Amino acid sequence: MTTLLSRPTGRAGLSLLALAVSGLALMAQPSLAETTMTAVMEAPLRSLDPVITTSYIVRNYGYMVYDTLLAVDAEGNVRPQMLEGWETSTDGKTYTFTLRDGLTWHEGGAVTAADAVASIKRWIQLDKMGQVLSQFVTDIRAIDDASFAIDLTVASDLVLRALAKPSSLPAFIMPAAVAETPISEAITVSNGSGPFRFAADEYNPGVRAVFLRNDAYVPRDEPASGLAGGKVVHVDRVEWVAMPDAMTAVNALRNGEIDLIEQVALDLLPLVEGEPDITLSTSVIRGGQSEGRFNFTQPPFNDPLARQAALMALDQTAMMQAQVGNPDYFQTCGAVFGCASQFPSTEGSEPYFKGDIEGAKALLAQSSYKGEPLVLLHPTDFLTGPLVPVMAQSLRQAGFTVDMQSMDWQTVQTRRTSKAPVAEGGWSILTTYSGLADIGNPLSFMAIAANGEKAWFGWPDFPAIEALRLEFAQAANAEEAERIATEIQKLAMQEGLLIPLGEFKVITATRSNVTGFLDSAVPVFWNVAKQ
Amino acid sequence: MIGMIARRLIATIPVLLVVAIVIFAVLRLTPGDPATLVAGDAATPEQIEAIRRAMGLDQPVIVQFGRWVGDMLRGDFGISLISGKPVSELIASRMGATVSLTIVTLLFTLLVSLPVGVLSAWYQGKALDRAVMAGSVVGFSVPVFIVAYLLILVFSIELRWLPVQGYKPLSAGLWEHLRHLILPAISLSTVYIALITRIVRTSVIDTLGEDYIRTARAKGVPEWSVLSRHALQNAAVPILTIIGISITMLIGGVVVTESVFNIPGLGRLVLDSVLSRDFTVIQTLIVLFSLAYILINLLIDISYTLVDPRIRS
Repeated sequence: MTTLLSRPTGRAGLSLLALAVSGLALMAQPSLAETTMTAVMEAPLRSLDPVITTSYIVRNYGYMVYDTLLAVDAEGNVRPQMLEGWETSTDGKTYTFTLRDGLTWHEGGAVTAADAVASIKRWIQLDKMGQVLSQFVTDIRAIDDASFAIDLTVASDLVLRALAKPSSLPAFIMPAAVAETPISEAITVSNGSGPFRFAADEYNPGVRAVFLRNDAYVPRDEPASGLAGGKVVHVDRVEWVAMPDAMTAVNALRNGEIDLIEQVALDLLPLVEGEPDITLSTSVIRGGQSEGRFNFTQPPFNDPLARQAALMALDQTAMMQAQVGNPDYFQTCGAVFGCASQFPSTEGSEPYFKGDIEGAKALLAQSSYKGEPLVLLHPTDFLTGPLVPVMAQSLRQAGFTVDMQSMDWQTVQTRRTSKAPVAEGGWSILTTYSGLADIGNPLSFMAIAANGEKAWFGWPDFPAIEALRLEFAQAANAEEAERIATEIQKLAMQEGLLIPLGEFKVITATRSNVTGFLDSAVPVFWNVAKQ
Repeated sequence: MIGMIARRLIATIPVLLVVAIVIFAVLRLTPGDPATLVAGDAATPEQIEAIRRAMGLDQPVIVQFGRWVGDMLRGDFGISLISGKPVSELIASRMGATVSLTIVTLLFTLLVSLPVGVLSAWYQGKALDRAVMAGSVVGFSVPVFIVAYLLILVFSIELRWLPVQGYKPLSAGLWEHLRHLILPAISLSTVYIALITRIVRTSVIDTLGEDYIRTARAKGVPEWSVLSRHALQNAAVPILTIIGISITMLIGGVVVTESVFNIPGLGRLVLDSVLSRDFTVIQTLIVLFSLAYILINLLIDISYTLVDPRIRS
């Protein structure tokens, strides 16, 4: 009997097929010399416009692909990044910036002042700090290919602090043609001048994002510090792999299939603690603050006494135990700008957040509250989800009638836009969290704005706080800035502008052969090496 | 036969239209707005509204529906509201993983359940049969993710034979492709092995009591031939039915397995799209799933005629 395998042509065909399969396999794999860093980040990357969204993973993507004109170092100082330097006019109202040599776009061409001007003009419309800055800006203009100027109505270094802000939304510099995209449209292309190039052909939204070392990038000479200094890349590829199941990520790290988990689920820490091949590092600066927000436009929290009663009833320790568990990884804090920030004052918070139920009852009795139900939004798939039932119980004990409504985070995001009465689909209290990098400044922290309709959800309207924020923008020195920030803290507590619910740390797990992961406000992959 | 196929295909049109209307209406009634997700926490109501306009979500629902159906008929599935990528591209990039996982799971399921079911019927009431029945109860009862975590613990973490997670396409090599699918396929197949084994056993037991089986044995036909040619072939119709149902359940039911083993398939795409309210992706996927269900059922109906001459006639 003649079979396919017994015929010479059949054997040759199979050999060719085997060769073809092997060839495809080789093509699909990175070359042996390549160093690939595989990381599971806090969320999957699904969009590519770091100016239109405050999502942290898109911000992190921005730092990989784009560069910033200025950056903040580990000590909090503003340093030049894409800039050679800057000059201030004698009246302090004009800043002239000069780009450093060697800046090029990934797709070719030099970075010019026109690109910087277009990028700033788009960013300034969307960023909270940029919006404050825009009140003092009369012109942003290119002088020549390498320099541009910003003219202000007042002498202030706000322009430096704004352009150097590390987190949502950083002022990333893009090619002018890209930066001219209207703010209602998301940018979908990726052409930056940063230390990594985005591998668009390998991008699978929600699954995988690949970054390749930008060999044309010229790092600064200074050592990396915070988000400033030399962005020296030691790996060829960085792959962000999305893993919907936290347990899978931990198992993959234990098995050596990935190199880094940016934020390990706290309940899974016992699985990796003590593993010889895994290094754990705790970061305060990449941690966050859980926050609550009253709806100031609807009863009962349009009454300051009711807000104060609620603040008095809440117990930060109990809520943090529900959210985080291990006391090594959280701390209570009554500072709206965060206890690890430049403005850590806790003034005005002394009576609050200790679970003083009797005090809360007494305050509530003096308020206009008549027992009407308040709606507490409970996001079941969000970081603050576990603390909300604890919050509800404290409020009930204080005498509030609480309707805790459970829903997914997407529904909360839609529901919180409603200004309707609670009986008609509105809400009374919501919770969220912010990275510490986002809350340390009265201008950039969105929840501190108190300009009514233009404020963040809850729409507080306190002109005194707004006046202080404008004063802060023009502060002459650090001492004055601290005094104003403390004033805002006191007023924020008095009015219940924000409900600090406690601060938590972030635990990063890496394989032991990974070194150089910087403890900066944003997880970055320059300076990282893999042995 | 051709007439029957043509009639069935024509009948899919109103079914798909009803599915399209229902899914479109359900999504628009569900709370959640993709524009708020794109805009982020700091966005003002004006910015969110501008993004909604850019996404076309400010248009009347009937206009949005008409545009979507019109585009679908032209083969244009639209653009993902969240990623900005064409929906067809997203689906194509995820299809391979789900199809591979489904095929490997199905093959493994059939390789185990058909012989075990037949043997169980053959040894009806004996120890083997009782063990198989007990095993099938376990297969039904233990959730997929428990099986998955146990397999990962043993074969990946302790023995280090197989990867914990991930998916490699066939282009990465056959073994590389298969080794990433072994644990997911075993996890996913437990419930289907239990289901199909029971159906095979019951069907074969039924046919073993038929007169023609007694006749075959009286004529001296070997037992293996009685089982495979006479009993199993005549028990095929209910078995094919349950295999068809299993395939359709597999396509829609891989979400947990794909999540636990980090396989970037259609199940995860559905979940991600639902959580982010990516309307265009969800709508298209549901319609495509419906179409797949209809076609698979049609293929199963056609296969009846191949195994049973009575249906053919």
